[in-house]
Amino acid sequence: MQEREIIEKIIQGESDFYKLIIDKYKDKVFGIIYSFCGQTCDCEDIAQNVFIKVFKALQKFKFESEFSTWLYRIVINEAITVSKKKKHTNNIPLEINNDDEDEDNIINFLKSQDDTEQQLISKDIQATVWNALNSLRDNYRAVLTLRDIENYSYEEIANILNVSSERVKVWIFRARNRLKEILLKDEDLQ
Amino acid sequence: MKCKDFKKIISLYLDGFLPPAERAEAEKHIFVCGECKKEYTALKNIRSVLVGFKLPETSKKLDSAFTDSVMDKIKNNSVVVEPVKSGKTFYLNVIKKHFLIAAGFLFVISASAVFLVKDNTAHKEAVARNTAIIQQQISARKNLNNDFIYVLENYFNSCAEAEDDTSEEEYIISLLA
Repeated sequence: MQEREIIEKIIQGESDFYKLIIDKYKDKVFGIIYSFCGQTCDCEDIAQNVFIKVFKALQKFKFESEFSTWLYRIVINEAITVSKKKKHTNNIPLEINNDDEDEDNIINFLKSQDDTEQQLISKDIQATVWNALNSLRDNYRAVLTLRDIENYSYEEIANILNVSSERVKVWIFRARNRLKEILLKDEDLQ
Repeated sequence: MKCKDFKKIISLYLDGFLPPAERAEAEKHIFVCGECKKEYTALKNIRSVLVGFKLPETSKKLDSAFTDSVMDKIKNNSVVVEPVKSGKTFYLNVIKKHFLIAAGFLFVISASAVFLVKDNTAHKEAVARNTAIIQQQISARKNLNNDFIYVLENYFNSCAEAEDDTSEEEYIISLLA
């Protein structure tokens, strides 16, 4: 059965068909939420809420885009909302002590040209980058998460965020530079 | 390739989206330019951390209990596909909502008018100053590539909505310098 037929059946009241949709997309949805919210969020709970929201909103899906694109747009909006709430409650995903030694670590890491060192990225460096990523504007954070963490193409990101590929290209370019500026602060690499 | 040209394509280079000829040019450039190599290395290293945030494929599988749990919640809480709102009630709600939003805006604007006038003047002066510099520098150059022209157009179009207008302008100026 085609996905369109399944969705039409659900809209007509045959809700049991929704199982097929959940089974098809649950791992991808969970992965995106994890990329946005990290380990401390209950990603499974958020994923459940997303699927309930999507179910309620199915009537609004007009088959003008791929269903997956529409679904991932809802997932990203939900993930951004949840991670913002987390920030407001000061529940930062990864802890870091902001002392001079940590600053030196990140600067040395960013300057490092040794690929073997990349395999041993310390938790402090991960935490610093995670916090910097979370301090970016929502659109910058969304494009970096989708591109670098989830490995979507520019075209796919454009469809999910409902903007042009050119805009995605510019946002990624700016987001990377902004992230570098935040991490290097006053260093000469800026 | 010059440093400013490399900076324009650095993000595409990092993603491996450059055509072979441009890629070869970029590789040649970072071989001879220490500063650009440093910049590229920093971005590449940041990217390697971001890639590591991906949930490992092995721990990504949700079992059938997840699906059952969502279906139970839908059934037990009588969740239904919501109809798209239409008719009188919908329009009344929209009007009511718009009225409240308008009233809220009016209140906020009148309460903060004094501060806005002061901030706007400073902001407009900064935008005018930077825009003049950018336009002057563009007119002095003939061969800007399409990507960069897009960045500029995008900037001019989104000038009003950007949160950090002045820093974006300063950034563009630094690319042109």
